[in-house]
Amino acid sequence: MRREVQAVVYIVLGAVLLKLVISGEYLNYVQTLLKWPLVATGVLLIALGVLGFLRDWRGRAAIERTRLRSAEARVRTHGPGAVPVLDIDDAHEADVGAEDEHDHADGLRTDPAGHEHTGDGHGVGWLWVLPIFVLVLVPPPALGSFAAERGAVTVPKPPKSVTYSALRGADPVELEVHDYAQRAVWDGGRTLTGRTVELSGFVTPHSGGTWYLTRMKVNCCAADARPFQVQVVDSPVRVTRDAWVKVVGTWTPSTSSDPWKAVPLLKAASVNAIPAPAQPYE
Amino acid sequence: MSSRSSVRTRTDATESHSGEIALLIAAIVAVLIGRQVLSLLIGGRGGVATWTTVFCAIVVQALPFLMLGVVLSGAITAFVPPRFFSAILPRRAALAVPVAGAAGALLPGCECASVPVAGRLIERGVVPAAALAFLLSAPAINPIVLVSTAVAFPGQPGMVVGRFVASLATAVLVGWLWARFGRPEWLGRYVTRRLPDPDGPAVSKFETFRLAVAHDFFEAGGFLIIGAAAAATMNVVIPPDWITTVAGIPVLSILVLAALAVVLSICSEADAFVAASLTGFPLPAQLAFMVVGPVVDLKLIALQTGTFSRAFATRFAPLTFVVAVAAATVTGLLIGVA
Repeated sequence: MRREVQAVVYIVLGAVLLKLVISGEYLNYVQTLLKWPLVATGVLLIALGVLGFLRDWRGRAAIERTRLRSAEARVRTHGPGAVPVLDIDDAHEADVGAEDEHDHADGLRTDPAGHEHTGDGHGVGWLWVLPIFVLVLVPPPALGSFAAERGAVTVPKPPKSVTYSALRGADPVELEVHDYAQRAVWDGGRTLTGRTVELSGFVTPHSGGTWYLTRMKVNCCAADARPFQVQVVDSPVRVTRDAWVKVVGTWTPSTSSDPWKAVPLLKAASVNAIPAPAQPYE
Repeated sequence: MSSRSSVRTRTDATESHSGEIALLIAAIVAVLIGRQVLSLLIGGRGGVATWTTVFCAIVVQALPFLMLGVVLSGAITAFVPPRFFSAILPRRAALAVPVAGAAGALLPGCECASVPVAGRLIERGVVPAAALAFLLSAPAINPIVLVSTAVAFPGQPGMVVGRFVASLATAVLVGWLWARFGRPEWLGRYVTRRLPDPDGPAVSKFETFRLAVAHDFFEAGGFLIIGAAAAATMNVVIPPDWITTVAGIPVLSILVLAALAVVLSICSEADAFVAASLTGFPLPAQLAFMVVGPVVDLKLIALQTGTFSRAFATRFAPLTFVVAVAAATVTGLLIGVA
């Protein structure tokens, strides 16, 4: 791997990270907690790349000077008839030879300043191109209905610490989808009875024309996402897959009284399309 | 000979030059076509889009931790005197292993950070078995991971204690086994590499640091990407019903969650939340998920292959898996009884 390529990769990767944070797109992949670590990583990467370039130019200028000096010396000792061209080649050859040797040694490092640090021995460094290409060209969207369909429609048992305090504020009360689902199934809808709630999420269609209002819950990154789904009954409008909607409605009991098997239900009074939120996960 | 080599050199130079131009053209073509193809596939929002999102998420999420790891390991190379670790660690591997394992509690990162650090520790003369014990314990028992476990399992301090005990036991046992049966040549270049010659050209410590960071990040990152791609594939391909159907079966549920931890490659700082969400599973199975995940997963295996060697990873990963499952099962049963 050539040192220049490495420097370019670092600068581009650092710029991509900063762009993800500035545009807010990083929220499609990771949680807000990682915002400042990502900024720091981006800045460090750009610094590494720029430093690499600077050192390289300085280093190459030094090599050029050495070659010229040795060529001049040769001319002085051997007279003007000596062939300086070959000398330059010799110098170059020694240089290249040294590099080859290091490559064959597969990262055997004898001198921390030498070229061997750039030889990555495996060629896997090239793979950096992959995520950079994807993130620059077509940043993938937040997880949607495909990922949700792979999850369960039932609600996993919440940890013991989750308590269900009475809903505060005037109707409709804005709730997170996982909060509503847990209240509906694991608390028997106790705090939801007689209240109007407002949930927002995306549409995951299921068989028989029914659809679920879905929100993914992410703790660290999208790889650990789990869907929370609420079946919307009596939807006044038709909805399309993956569309973001806000549903105002009331709780109705699930068809199953066993919380392990129950699917949370929401009787819709209104369904309105909304733009995808900046924070797609809960 | 000299003239022949000169000719070869000249041709090489031309070839590498045209290689660069070809690369540039390939990049431009890839950008033009790739954009269309990618937006077509990702716009469909199906499996490909989900794969790409999960892949990018794992890479983006791992980058800060990888950076932390390579900066620390670069600092070890550049600023810590060569004799430092051999001076503070016990000389005998049998004693050095538990000390290094316990020291893992000091590195507040996840598994991506610990692999390059372990490599540089070996380079600095730390007994390989001790460095490996550190590699295994650091992502599992550091304060951030333990706190996130406590948050994910509120009111169940047994899970935090169990995770700490089982993970430390895994690290120390594997370290001892490695001290007894491991061979230096499996560690690849780290044992054959010589330390910088003190009489060699004078290089500033910062320059050594910079080069080490640049090298480690680039190389480890390549393997991280392989691991992320594999984990994203598993995330999209495995039918989710497979996992829930075995929840009730005692032994199988432990093995399935342990295997799931390997293929999903979730960061050790987040895996407790996923384990907590697998509510149908018995406690030892959830514990196995959290003990195995930080020490063996696809992204770690890829990183270890790259940092050490394939011979190393093919021996070390299965060994660690078996020990971790055993440690988690025993600890889980003890906690269940208590």
